[in-house]
Amino acid sequence: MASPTALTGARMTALFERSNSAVCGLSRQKFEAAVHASVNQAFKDRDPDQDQISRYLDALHVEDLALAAACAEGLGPAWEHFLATHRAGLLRAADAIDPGGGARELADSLFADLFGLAERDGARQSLLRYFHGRSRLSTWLRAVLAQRYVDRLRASRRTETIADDDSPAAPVAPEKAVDPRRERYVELVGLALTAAVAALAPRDRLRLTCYHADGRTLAAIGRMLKEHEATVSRHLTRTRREIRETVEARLAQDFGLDRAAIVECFQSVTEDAGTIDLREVLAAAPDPALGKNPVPDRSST
Amino acid sequence: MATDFDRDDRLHGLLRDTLRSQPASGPCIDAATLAAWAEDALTPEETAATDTHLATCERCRELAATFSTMAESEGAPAAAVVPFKPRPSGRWKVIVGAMGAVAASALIWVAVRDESPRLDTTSAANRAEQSQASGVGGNVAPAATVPARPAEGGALQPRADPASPAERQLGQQRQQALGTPRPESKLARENNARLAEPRQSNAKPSPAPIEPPPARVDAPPPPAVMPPPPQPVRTAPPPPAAPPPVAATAAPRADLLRSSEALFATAPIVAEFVVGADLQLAQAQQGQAFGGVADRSAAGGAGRGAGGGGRGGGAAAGAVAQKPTNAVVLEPVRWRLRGSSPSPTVSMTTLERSNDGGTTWQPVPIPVTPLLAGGSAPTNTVCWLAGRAGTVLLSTDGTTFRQVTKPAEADLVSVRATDARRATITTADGRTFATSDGGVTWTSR
Repeated sequence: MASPTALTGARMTALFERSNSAVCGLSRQKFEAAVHASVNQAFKDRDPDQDQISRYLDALHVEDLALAAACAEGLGPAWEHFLATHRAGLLRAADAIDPGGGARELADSLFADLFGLAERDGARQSLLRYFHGRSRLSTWLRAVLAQRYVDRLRASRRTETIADDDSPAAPVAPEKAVDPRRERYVELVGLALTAAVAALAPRDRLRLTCYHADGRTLAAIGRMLKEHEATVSRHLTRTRREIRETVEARLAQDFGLDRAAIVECFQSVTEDAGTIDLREVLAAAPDPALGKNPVPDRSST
Repeated sequence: MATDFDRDDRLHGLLRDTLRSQPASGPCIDAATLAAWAEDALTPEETAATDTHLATCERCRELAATFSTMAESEGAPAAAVVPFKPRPSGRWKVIVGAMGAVAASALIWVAVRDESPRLDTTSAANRAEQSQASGVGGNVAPAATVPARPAEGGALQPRADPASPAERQLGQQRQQALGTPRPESKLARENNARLAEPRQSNAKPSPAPIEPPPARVDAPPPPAVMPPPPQPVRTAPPPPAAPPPVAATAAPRADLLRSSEALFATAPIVAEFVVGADLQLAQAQQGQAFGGVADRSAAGGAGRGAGGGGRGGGAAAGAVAQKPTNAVVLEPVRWRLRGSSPSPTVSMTTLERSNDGGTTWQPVPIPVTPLLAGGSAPTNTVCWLAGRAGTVLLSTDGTTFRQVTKPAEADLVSVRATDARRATITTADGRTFATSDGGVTWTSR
């Protein structure tokens, strides 16, 4: 919780003047309540010292916070200024994620929630109460819109009906002889790899997940993390190298594999065992139209 | 045998499976956290927690990716990076200073000459004489049709009324005259004599209003009440030959001084920046809250170097009519770095602050007096300054500055800050350093 000494009258007065609350029509009392709510929200799980609170207040976007608080209070001039300042930007953002206009509907409905049509206990419940000034108001608005858009998109994916698949069943790969050591290798590498990934720096892990698990492009990752795509590529290469070195070290130290065994382990595990050689599969099928010289299985070599 | 690099590459399939099977870490991030994460406004611990959650939550990664698409639509943030403009040193300082002083004084008397109809008549005769002398024939506009010079801000804006060919020719000659110090020319003697005469206080017509440039179709509406555009009052060096102005003409002369000073890059304004210029992404695009400065920031970099005064034309150009109300007026603090007078021995910068949009400026003391190159002010109370020899100054109350740890023993050319803790500086040799603890430690990027 916020230390009372960090929010003294003088400090609050300075924040109040900085916020231009007076021109918003926001009273000092309401402004103080908004600041206290912001501080409490930011440090809800911690017990900050005065210096931390002071730094937090320095970085607070008090002008936007005052504007949001004034709009949440239903002050007309503040709401007009809010619309004039932020509506166009939000609509542009909506068009950016859905040029078809679907996100615009969300943006329009968002303004209704921001104004606060729903009443509870006789009072409007404005969405702007959840803005605490840690970012610019425009950024927060875009985040809210993105949140609604993604949630709607994911909900629609869940309710999409799967088209009937009339195509014949896919051929099943024939059973192949399994290297008895491979099962153990997979288990060892899996353990080492999980530990190596868990030990990564959060940003490295995020980058790696975006690239390998989501299949995002370097440019998209760079856009998300505000990095150049060459930087993303460099970081990915470094992270993969670190993971491989960590896994190899763990295989050697914890599981007692020597260098040759590690190389063999990697080779057998990293080869995609799931790859199905279509010619081989089809050659196994009784179809005389296909080639008569099946390609040998290369997945285990 | 596979090389290390091959084995790194082969990790792809394993990593995909491993990363997809990670359990989600913590609750999903909310809009406020995402917005703060995107603006680097979280603490390092919060950033790490958010990154960790994003790495393990597909929904939140999709959210962050969608958000980044939106952010891209907003365009590049209005960076308040002030390019470093090394001041001339040694002999160049003397030469440029002398040329600037002579040019300013010459422009002042040329401009003052146009103030009264009688002077205009005389100057029209001079124009005709000069046109004939330079071979420019044709009609010389009579004095009554010569458009009035804009009283302020005209230096950076096109004139409302196109000049006649003869006048354009005269303008070129004026520029040549300004570039070549000839204070004792015939024209100068005549005008100096006129300046010594009593003035007609009501002779100067009001300047014609200058239309702002046409608004873009997708331009956002202006705010309900626009703050007045900045009109910095600058004090130009006094003209050496002109007598002190009489009281009745003090105001017009001040305007002319503004115009003349804005014309010259030798004016000793090192840099000028406005609060939130590198944070006000939306305002910069909409051209609302901060008027012309925001417009210029969005167009080509926020920082303004010397002679960057004047009005921004696009600020008031709203595509959507907005009824005037008593809505919010947000007045950002303006800062400017003013260099000392060009001198081979003095190399220092003073800092000034304006709380009224540039109308008045108050000096702000700084603990050291190096040559500062630029600054960034994310809020009205937080201001970062950077300059020579790795000097970085920080104020968190808008009035007192303290020197923070030097990121490098190199000249700094720009600083860009998002709050009192986070800033990024660039050195003259292209290196970039960032701090997230208010300048206590710096990391190379």
